Amino acid sequence: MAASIKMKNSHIFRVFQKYLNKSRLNVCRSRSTSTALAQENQEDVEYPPIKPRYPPGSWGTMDPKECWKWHEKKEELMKYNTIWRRLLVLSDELKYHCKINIPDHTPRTLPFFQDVTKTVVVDGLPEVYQEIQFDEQCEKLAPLVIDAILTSHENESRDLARSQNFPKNSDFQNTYQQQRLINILNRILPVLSLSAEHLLKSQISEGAKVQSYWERGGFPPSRADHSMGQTGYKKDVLRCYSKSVLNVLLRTENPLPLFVNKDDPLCEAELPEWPCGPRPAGIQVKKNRIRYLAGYKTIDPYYTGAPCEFGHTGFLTTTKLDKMAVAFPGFETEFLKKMMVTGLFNWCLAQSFNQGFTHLSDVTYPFTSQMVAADGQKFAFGSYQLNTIQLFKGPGEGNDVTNICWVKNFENLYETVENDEVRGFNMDTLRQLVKFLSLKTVDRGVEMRPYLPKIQPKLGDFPLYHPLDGPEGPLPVENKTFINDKVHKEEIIIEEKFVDER
Amino acid sequence: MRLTISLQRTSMTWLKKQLWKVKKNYKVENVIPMAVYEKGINFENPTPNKTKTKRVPIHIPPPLSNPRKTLKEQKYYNEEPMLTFNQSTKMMEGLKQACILTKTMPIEGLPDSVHDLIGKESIPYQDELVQRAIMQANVWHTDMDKMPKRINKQKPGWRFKAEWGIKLENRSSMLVWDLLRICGVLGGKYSDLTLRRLTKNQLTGCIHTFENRQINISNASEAQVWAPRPLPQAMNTEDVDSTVTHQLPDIFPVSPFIDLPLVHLYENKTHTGWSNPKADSRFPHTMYITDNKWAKPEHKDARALMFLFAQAVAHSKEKYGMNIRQLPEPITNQCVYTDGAKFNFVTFQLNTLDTSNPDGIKNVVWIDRDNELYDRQLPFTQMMTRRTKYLDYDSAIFQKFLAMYLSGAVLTQ
Amino acid sequence: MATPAKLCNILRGITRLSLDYSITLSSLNSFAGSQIHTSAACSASKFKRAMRPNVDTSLGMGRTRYDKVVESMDKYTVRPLKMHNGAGRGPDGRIWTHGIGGGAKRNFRMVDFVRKGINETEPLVEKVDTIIYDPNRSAILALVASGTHKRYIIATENMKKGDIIKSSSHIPRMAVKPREGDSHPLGALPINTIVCCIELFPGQGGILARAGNSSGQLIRKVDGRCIIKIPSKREINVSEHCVATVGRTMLKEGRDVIGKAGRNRWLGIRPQSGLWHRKTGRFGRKLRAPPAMVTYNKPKPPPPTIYQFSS
Repeated sequence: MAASIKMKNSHIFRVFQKYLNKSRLNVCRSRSTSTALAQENQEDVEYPPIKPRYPPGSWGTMDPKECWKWHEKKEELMKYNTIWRRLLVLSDELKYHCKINIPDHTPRTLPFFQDVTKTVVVDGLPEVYQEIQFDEQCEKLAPLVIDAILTSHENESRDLARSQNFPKNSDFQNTYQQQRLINILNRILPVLSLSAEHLLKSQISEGAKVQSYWERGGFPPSRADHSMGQTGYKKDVLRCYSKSVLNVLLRTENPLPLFVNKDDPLCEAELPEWPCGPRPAGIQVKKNRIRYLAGYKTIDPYYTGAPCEFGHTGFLTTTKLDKMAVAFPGFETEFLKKMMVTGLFNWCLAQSFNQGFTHLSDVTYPFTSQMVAADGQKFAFGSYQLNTIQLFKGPGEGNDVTNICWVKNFENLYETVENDEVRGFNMDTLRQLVKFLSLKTVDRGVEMRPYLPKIQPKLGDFPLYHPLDGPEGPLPVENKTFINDKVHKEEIIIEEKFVDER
Repeated sequence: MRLTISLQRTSMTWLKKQLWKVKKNYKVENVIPMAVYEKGINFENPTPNKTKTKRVPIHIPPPLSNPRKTLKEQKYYNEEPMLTFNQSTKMMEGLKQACILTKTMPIEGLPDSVHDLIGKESIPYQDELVQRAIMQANVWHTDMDKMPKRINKQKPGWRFKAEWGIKLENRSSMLVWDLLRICGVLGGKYSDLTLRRLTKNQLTGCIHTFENRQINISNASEAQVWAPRPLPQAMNTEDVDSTVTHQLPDIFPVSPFIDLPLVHLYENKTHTGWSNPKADSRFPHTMYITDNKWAKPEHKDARALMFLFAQAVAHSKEKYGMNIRQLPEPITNQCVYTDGAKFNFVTFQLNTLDTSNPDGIKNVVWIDRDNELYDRQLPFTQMMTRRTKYLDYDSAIFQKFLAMYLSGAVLTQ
Repeated sequence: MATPAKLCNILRGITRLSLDYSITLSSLNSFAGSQIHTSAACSASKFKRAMRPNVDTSLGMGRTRYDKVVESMDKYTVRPLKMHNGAGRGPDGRIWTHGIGGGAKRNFRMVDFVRKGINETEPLVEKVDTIIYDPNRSAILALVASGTHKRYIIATENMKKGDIIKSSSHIPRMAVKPREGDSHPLGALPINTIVCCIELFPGQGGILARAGNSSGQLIRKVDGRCIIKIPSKREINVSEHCVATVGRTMLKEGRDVIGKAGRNRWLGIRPQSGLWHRKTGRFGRKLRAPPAMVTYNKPKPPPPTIYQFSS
């Protein structure tokens, strides 16, 4: 081996090779047939393909260089076959992004949030709910709900009477309201679930985290900003993130039906104007690491993910809204709308990322979910349809589709509780709640994960097996995996069981 | 190098400062050119009354409105201390001590009334839903709390990585509530089950006298189920009469009051927790305990017994009056206490309130131990949130859980 | 590397402390908040000097970090108390014994060395609950309960969970058949019994033969007094009303071989000075006659009252 290398590098050998090659050509030419010669002459000279001006997709009036940058980013992300790798790549660094609170603390800023999330707000609820009727069931459920209200009222009054020794948490109102909602749900849901299969197989979680990140274009660039660091946006793109904790979450296996078709004029409606940047809306810029959480954990290299991936309803308490009502009287509906818009958008975005979509490639079917903002006494309802994720394109840059949010204002379920009696019980709100909960999920008939390979492990399996070894064999793994090599080897079986005594 | 030039320089900063002292007070008068006046434009002085802003004194709010009170100022302070039994007391002798205090006879296994109900009813997709509840509580929930420090006694010097995951208390409580929701699905079929009440952390208290000393037993378990009518008897009157021959255990030289601390703060009241004792569905049915702070199985058995006893006694005193001596009818109670993976089923029947003698009719307790719903194997040295295995699911134990839930219900549509 | 001689010195310091100044239950009860608990190693050499045993802060010495090593408690508890390392420093803040410092944290467990019956005739019956490791001594503790009271005592060799132990203070006419773990006054025990936790004055609390795997032996009984051979092979003359427990103390395993320098550091033993010292006549093994017998007749005089002047 070493001798041959030496031979190859020597001058004499190179000269020898030259003569060899020449003689080979001569030999070929001499032995070639007429057809081979003709083929050689007819071969066209191949030039590399010309790069088109714009990459595939509609870009409008965007600069073609930027378009190609976005396209390259998307191709890099799409190389990764699995969700967790894709999200890992996005969440590498801590950077400064604009934080969007749910709910917000400043009045008169609803157009900003509509612009950032590209939603249209509609008063009232979609027509889907008018087709469902649950009168008989509501009459059966009314006494249960009254019972739940009474028990929670008793518990709270007893707790307050006992806790005079020490100051209470600033968060105790939140826990009381959450408990009221759960008491109602614990009485209603089991009764409804025998007839509705989507409720049987659903999952409920309390205090679930919802987190997402997106980039919004179309804002004017700031003057003094050449680096991205402090303000959170470079050139035209605003980087936003939002974190929230939903008090109660209901998740189902299949998604909710569409509220509105894509042909509807609402999907391409006009948004109100917000000519300034984010600072006049009271937005702060904070350090953040990109993470997408939709109230559950998806597939890991270690465990299978939760099977119920699509959101059905979420419940939020109104402690912050009450504080805002005291600080800014007269803006209550606005704060409600903001909470619905941002909270639901946040949740639907996270759901879409868990199905393999990214903010660089758009969503192929719309995501829908519902939310209830409740106090135990007053209920407000909202529903949302997510049509686009590609928000980095500003107006006139190829994406005119908007998202839609329906909001219904607060209504009381009951007036007062006196002497172990509930007074002023309102059946309409109960009916609306039951309609919300019993809205059936639908198999959309569309490919759910078009940007992921079809071989994916089964979800929610027990006892768990390694997700890479699915029912159809192991998936191809790329080089440079963060997964330990020990995963693929046989794991050590311990004879003595290690018991966690603590 | 020549230093003269560099040292003979003027001090520019000092000069600038001297200049600024003069220039900062330079005032500019509002000089408007004549041509603008002739146009006839109205001018307004933007600062007509320029007043100096006064310094407003800082408002320091008074100290906390609810400062900590001393012992004697607190609401439930009593001058005479009393022995107490809490969720965190660990009795030295375990079940034996509790049996002496409450005059009970222990039996292993489930009573016949519950045993007959196993396997009668089933919920669609039962196993799948329970498995989902287990994984949801252990793995899929999004809590990120700092886990307590981990120690493996078989490998003492190993330092485990810090981890963030779901706490043990949250894990077990989430499982219990999920299982209760699954059991309640049968409420759509049998309307009697919808009349039950579910409460969280409801306090029950009871004052029990034994050998001329008073014990205050207070309980706030995770979940309680209250039924619209009392549970049927778990033991016949004939078998109850035959418990006279049973002898209580002997724990000489230890007295049965050991490990019960003397405390000044207690509520001197026997109550089940309902303010309106005549309301519907206030009969004790089952209690679910999930407090897992490291205690041995003996301590946990004793705790379950004492809490059931307290609930039954408090209920009887509310029903029949505070000064009752003999029960006309026995009262039954149930309890399930879990670890997150292991379930223990306890039923209790209160036959007597008279604990002054060790002779006579005794109360009865059934304990079914060591039911493992699933096997939770922790890794030896690897990370817990990645490498724990959940194996060996046993479907028979959820059937027992369902049977406990359904006992005493009228199963007709 | 701590030599056996060094360890012996430390142990001797502990025993000397216990000789001079015993921390008994009775004295604990009389502790006020201003008086001080002292660690064993700290106060050993203290009493050689002309210092008072109860170093009261009202003397005007100033409070230093090394005054109070254990958190104070008014009454007896089973709960382990927090303790910080004295590091060989005395109450003036200077080193009084070298070679101490560092090591794993330790909690202090209040051990009851007094074992007496309820009356002069009735014995106290107790039950062993658990056997516990104590880092502060080379012996092993046993948690023992009777009635509603729990306490720690030094465990004898074959003690295990569930045993029943008696401690009596009655001297019958005939000698008692000794059972391991029980405690009797020395007048009640037959000759040649092996004993541990021996008192010097009646009611004082056990002082001798408290370490791990140590024991003394009753040799003679003369005229209302007993003669015992203590672990250093010396004989002492003690009144027959002093109480001792029957048997040998339990061996703490794993203390024979240290194995490496690190283990010494974990135990709180710092390295010696590297200076070469010429060995004098005090080094080396010596063959001497056993010292004379000590009689403990007179109890220690009470400590002098401390008068504090206002000006």
